Amino acid sequence: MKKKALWKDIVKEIGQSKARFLSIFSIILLGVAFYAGITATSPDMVDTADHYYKDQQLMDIKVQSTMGLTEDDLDILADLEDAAVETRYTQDVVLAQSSLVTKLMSIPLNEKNPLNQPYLVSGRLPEHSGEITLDSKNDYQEAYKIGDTIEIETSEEEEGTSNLKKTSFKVVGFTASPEYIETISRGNTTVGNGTLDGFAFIPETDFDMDVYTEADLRFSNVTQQTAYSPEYEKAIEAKTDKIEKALEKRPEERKKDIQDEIQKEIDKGKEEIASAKKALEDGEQELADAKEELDNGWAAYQENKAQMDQKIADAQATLDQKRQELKEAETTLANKKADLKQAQAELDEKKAQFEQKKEEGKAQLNNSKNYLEQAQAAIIYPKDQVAQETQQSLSSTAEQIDPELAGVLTGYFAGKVPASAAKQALDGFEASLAELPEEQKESAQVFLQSAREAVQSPGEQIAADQQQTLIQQGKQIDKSLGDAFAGYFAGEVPPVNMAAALDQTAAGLSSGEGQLSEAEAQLKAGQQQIDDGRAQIKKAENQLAAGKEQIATGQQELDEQKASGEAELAKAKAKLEDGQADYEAGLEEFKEKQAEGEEKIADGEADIAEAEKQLKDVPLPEYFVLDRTDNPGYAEYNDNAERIAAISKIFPIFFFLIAALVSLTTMTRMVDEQRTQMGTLKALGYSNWDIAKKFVVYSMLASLLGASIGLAIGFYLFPTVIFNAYGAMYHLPEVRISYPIPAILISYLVAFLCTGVAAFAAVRVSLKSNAATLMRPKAPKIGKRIFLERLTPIWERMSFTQKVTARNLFRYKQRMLMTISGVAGCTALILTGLGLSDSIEDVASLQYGKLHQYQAIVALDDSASENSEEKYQQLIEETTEVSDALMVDQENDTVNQKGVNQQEVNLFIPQDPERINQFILLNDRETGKQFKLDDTGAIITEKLAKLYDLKEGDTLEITNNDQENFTVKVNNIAENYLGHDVYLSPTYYEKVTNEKPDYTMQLLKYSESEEWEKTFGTALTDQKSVAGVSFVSTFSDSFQSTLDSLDIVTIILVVSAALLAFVVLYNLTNINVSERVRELSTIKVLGFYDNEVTMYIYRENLLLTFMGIIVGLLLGFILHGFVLQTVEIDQMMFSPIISISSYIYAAILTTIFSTIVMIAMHIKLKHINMLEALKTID
Amino acid sequence: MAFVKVKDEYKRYRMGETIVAANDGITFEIEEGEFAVIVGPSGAGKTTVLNILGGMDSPDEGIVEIDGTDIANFSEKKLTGYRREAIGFVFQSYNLVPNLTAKENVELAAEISPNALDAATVLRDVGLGERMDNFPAQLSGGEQQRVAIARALAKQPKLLLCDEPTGALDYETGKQVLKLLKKTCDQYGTTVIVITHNQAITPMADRTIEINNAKVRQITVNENPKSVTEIEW
Repeated sequence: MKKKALWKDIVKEIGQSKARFLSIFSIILLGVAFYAGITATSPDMVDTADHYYKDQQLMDIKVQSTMGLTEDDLDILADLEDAAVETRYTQDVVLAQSSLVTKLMSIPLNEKNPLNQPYLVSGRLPEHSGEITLDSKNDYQEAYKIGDTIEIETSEEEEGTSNLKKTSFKVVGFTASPEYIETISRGNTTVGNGTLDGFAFIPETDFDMDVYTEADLRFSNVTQQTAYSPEYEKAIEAKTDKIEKALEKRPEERKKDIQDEIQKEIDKGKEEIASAKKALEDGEQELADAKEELDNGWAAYQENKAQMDQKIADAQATLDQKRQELKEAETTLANKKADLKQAQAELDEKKAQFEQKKEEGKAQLNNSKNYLEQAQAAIIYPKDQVAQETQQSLSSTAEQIDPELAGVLTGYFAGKVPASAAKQALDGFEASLAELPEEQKESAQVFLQSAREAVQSPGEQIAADQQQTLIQQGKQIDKSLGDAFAGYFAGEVPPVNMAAALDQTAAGLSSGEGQLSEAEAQLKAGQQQIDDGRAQIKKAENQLAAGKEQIATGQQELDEQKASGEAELAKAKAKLEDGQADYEAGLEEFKEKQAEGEEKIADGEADIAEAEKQLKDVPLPEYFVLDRTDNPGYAEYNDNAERIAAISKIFPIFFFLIAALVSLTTMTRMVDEQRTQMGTLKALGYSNWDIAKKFVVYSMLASLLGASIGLAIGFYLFPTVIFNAYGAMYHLPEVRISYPIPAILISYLVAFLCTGVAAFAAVRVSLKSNAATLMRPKAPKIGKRIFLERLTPIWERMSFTQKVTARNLFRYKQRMLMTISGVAGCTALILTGLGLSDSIEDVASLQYGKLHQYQAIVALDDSASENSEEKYQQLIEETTEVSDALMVDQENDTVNQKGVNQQEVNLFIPQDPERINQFILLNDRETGKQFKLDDTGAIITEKLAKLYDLKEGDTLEITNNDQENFTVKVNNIAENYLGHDVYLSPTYYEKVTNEKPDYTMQLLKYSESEEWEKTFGTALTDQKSVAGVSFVSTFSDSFQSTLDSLDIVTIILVVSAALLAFVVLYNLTNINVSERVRELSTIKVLGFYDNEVTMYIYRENLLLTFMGIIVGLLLGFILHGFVLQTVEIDQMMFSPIISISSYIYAAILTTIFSTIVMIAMHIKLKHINMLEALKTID
Repeated sequence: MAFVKVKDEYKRYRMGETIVAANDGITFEIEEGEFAVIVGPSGAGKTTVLNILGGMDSPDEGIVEIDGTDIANFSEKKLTGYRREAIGFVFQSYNLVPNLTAKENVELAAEISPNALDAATVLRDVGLGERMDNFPAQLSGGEQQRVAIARALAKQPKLLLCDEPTGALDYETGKQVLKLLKKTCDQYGTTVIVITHNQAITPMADRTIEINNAKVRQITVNENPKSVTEIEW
């Protein structure tokens, strides 16, 4: 039998009663979503972190030592079972531009999958030297961009930068790190202001360190375990013990190594100093040598120079002398020239005179010559005039006649006998002739005729004027000549005499001519002489010129020589000067180096002294084996997850309870409504199960659907929202959503129980009745007098509506209870949420406001010199802002007792116990009574007392670092929220431990801004004796932010509670309305306005809500206390106080939700079809 | 002028694809103080007329004047006010609030009415002086109906509308209720309109309006109505 109709009916039913279906669906959805979501959140958080740790290969254990790690240490670690060991350098530095205090960590360049792998947020990892990735924290991303260059501050006297090969890095990316899942806290440092701002990764090779800063270990068999799981923690504890044991002897060994090394260093240092000294001496010697050489060079130079100067001077002198001589010669020459010139002038004058005379003379001479020639021509020789034969015949005839006449005729003919004498002789003859024979007288007359013809006087032959001219001219020339001529002509003077006179005149002429010639010759000779003089002068001039030239050449040569000599000298000098400069530079350098060297030597010696001192007190290195809990945020993250887990264990119960109630009510109502139909079905012969099936299937469908969707939403929504809320605090990858089977099964089971079972329960009662009864409408609930009416005075004072409300309330007791519990649950959830927030918020303000009144703790270096300690104390004294300071000894000890987790306690031994209360208020939380720290016992903190169930007067056994136990008497129990403290007076401490307290911490009080604090922090960390500074503001802030993240839990609780309240109220009101629709229609018909109708029914709801709130606040208070206990971790005590405002908020919020429901209801009521409702039921 | 004047009143309902007229041009008048009976078979549209007269529903068309005021176009709120002040209802199924005593049920109405009568007085008037503090479940059907009538009367309505007031009652009780209604009409001068399918009641009415198939078939004014005791069914 398929009973198709029945199924159809079920489907139709859903369609018809959407609101009811939805209300079951949604309450189950809500409950399941909340349960599944919040249950899955904590594991999801852990899972996400665990995967992150695994993906990034987060180390399990980190080994560090106060003196770094050596290969020997690593060998030991590498020998450990399953261990993967990686080393790392780290160095805390200050970035120059941003002043961010940063931990530089090395990252191996070649390792593909190193431990503690940075989680890349943007950019890439360093691949080359000089590259850096920065913390992805906001401060870094704001300060730098990829591609920027970062400078590391070197100005301060940080030893740190010497550990680096570079101080300038290029930003290539931003990363998170599995070691730093916290978004803010990065731990403390001794650099900058004492607080680390972040981390950065640089290539391993950019470090320059002798020892590794840390060794990271990962154990293959431990890593399988989920982080935070007890298995993991147990395994790590075992490993830690093992490592600690393995390293047990290392401090001593290391100390010895270091001592050896220091000794070696000292030796080396000494050697170095010696060699440095030697080098200095050598340098000095070398310089001295150089100096000598240089001096020699100078001397040689000077000598050369002098020599050359002398030579040149000599040459110059010679030249000058020659020049002088030349000059003199020139002068002489000039004089000569002048003389010559004068002579020439004279000569020229003479010449001129001579020329004139010569002309005159020549003319005279010529005249005379002409005259002579004429004269000579005028001289007639008879031999030439008378033919030779005549002459001869005459002469020969004469000779025969008269030899004497012959002599006269021949003399005549020869011109030697004047014509007159000849004539006379002839006349004489003629005379004689008569005497003579006359045969001889004819011949002697022919002869005398011929002789007479032949003898004639010149006057007879020459024209008289010519004779005259000749006589005249002759006379002019010489009077005798004229006379001679006159005589000649007269024939008285023979031609020969005449010729002789003429010749004499010619000779006189010739001698005149000779005289002239001689004068001329004389002139010529004078000219010659002058010319000679000239030539001589010329020659002399030439000689002078030559001499000049020679001198010039000589000068030039000299100059050249001088120049070349000078050049050579200059060269030599330059060389020398260079040498000098070199020498001086060398000297300078040497002096510098010497100073430096001496300083270095002094330093070295000081260092050696220091080292020798160090050698004496090499501290025993401390080895730290740290696990992940040392990473900031690592443990807190789990605490947070556990808190959520704690919440997930309590709150969903509420939801489920309420869901069950809502479902039951709803189903009951449905069964009631379906009475008639049930009766009909029964009458038709359907079995009870068939009839019940509709309700069961209906409700199951709604709830399973709700559960499925609830699971889907819850598993996603809650972990995501909560995780993202923590995202502000933790840097982790996206949350990993899980679908835990148990949660799914439980969800479905609860859904099934809440609805299917509830439906069956509801229907069962009705099915017991027979068909006829069922088919009749259920008799309306009989009105009853309520208890209140018996209290007449009150009842009578109530208004009509109040009475109606009161009666209605009690009439529907089930619904009243439902509403109250729903609202109460809602209020309780809200209050718990707000209260949690209160309690947690209070912790920070109480712990750091009320109790810890100091502002900073300075950890002092044990091994610091007294000097530096004094310096520090001086700084504190000089810092006027610091109003008070207290030295304390703080020790981290443990308390072990069976049945309780081991607790770490801080032992506080104030140097001045009287003043402890000014720094840390030790009082009773409830009474506020202040405690005094005296020598009779200890004051312990509240949570510690609570954990070990201690009361005043009890004793507590404490184990110190050296595993020694001591027992203290509990004098008082003081208010405290964070950690466990045990306060002892110095005397009491000595009494119980037999040790003197070692005051290495100082508490400081001031009231200054955080700005000032930062500066102050820097000043403090600069102190040598300061090992670290912690500011209360810093951990107060970070603690506050941790706690603030719990706000999301509050919000989730409040929102869930609101939804719950809404569903519950809406559902209940809905049922209320539908159950009483007839009544409501009636009053509507009676003329009740919409508001009045709503109020008619809602007055009840308000009252119930009010009552629910009251109950809820009470319940919330209890729940809050319970949750606190669960959420609280051992190290923390929450303030159990919920502030008044939270109560008010819880009430107001619930009222608001209720009002929203009222508004929804109002709208619904407005649309009630009163006609339909009032239809007669037949 | 007629106290109640309905003219050309139409009311249509959509029934799936077709539109059904419940009232198809209803026109009638009732004078003040009259005891009117609207009679007709089931589904004739008489309840619609009553709903419209009672301000629980509005007509699609037409005039519905009560005491000179046309309520046909009243808003929801005005209608509520009208119901509150002018109308008293008596239902076939009494519709008493089960959680309230007889007196409280009456008070429920009286509380909101401006010129309400004292609940106790009215209850005494309807003969329930002794049962005032009883819850409806403790009363017989007739008594419950009397409480319902008392609740309606306590408001001193201008118009008392009764929807099959005797439908759920036995003969005798029914007669008593009718008697009470008639008495109310006479005594308080309230205009009473009774809706019934029972033709037998018509003789006691001052005016009978017969409605059939959504239309007024006949209006009979009875000058001499019979007393309740005289009629039988």
